[in-house]
Amino acid sequence: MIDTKSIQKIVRTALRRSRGLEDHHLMHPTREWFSGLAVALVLLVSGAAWCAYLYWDYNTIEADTSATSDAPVSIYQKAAVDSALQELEARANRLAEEKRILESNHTSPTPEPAPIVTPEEAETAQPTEDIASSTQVLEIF
Amino acid sequence: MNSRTKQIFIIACLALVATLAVCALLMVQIRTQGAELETFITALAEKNADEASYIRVSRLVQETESERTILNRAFFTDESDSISFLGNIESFAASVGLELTTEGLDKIEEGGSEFITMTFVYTGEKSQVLHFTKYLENIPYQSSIRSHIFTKNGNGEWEGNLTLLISLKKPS
Repeated sequence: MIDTKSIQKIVRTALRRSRGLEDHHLMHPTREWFSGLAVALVLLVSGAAWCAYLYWDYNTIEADTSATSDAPVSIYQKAAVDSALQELEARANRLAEEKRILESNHTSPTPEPAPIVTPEEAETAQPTEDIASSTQVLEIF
Repeated sequence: MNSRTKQIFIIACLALVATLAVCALLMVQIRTQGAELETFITALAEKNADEASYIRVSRLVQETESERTILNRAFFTDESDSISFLGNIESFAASVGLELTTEGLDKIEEGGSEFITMTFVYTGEKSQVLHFTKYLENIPYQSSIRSHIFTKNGNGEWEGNLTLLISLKKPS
């Protein structure tokens, strides 16, 4: 009985035979030649592309502007300097005023009331508001 | 294959191997040069940053020269400045009718800073003594008053005893 498998086998055999004789040669010069050319062409194109990329990459390199310097950072405390200058100016004004008063008192002294004779006494004057009783060392740099 | 075909095949293989070797060598050379280039670029970037920092600091030094000069004058540079200061104070005190003597002149160190201490004793009229005290309080130096005592003498005159601290500039 002829089944499906047998029919398929017959058809397969007939088709194989319709292709004619098979070529049993291993090397085909034309085919190998063009295959080699194709591989070489692929290598050439990929190599050229990589070289072009390298050229563009190195050609567009720029120095990193975010690089930091190892030099110590100098911080200028402008507010502290301005404050110190203002204080010096105020002191200079007060100094000039006191000098003027001292010189004017010496040239034309104002009469003082008669002092009350008391035993010798030690008196510590109260500090004025201007006296800076604490040292301030300004660190500018 | 005949012998000629075999020769051509061998020559072609050798040429291919040689070309691939040269190509690999060139790729290695390119990578090496690229690494050197990155190193140079990094060094260049650091140099540029150093230059920019130098320019900033130079500009800051120039712009603040007058202010720093004024502030520098507010300190004694060394002990010799105190001698000239003492001379000025003594002559000024004499010119305004005060008898002034310098009882102490020393150099001390406090809190990592150096100071010149001076103790003045000055005698005269009450108002002159008080105003001279304010005068010493406002001298154009970084200074402070450590102590001050007013004493009234038996002859009606007042005596002031004042110890002054003047900052000594730190050596750079």
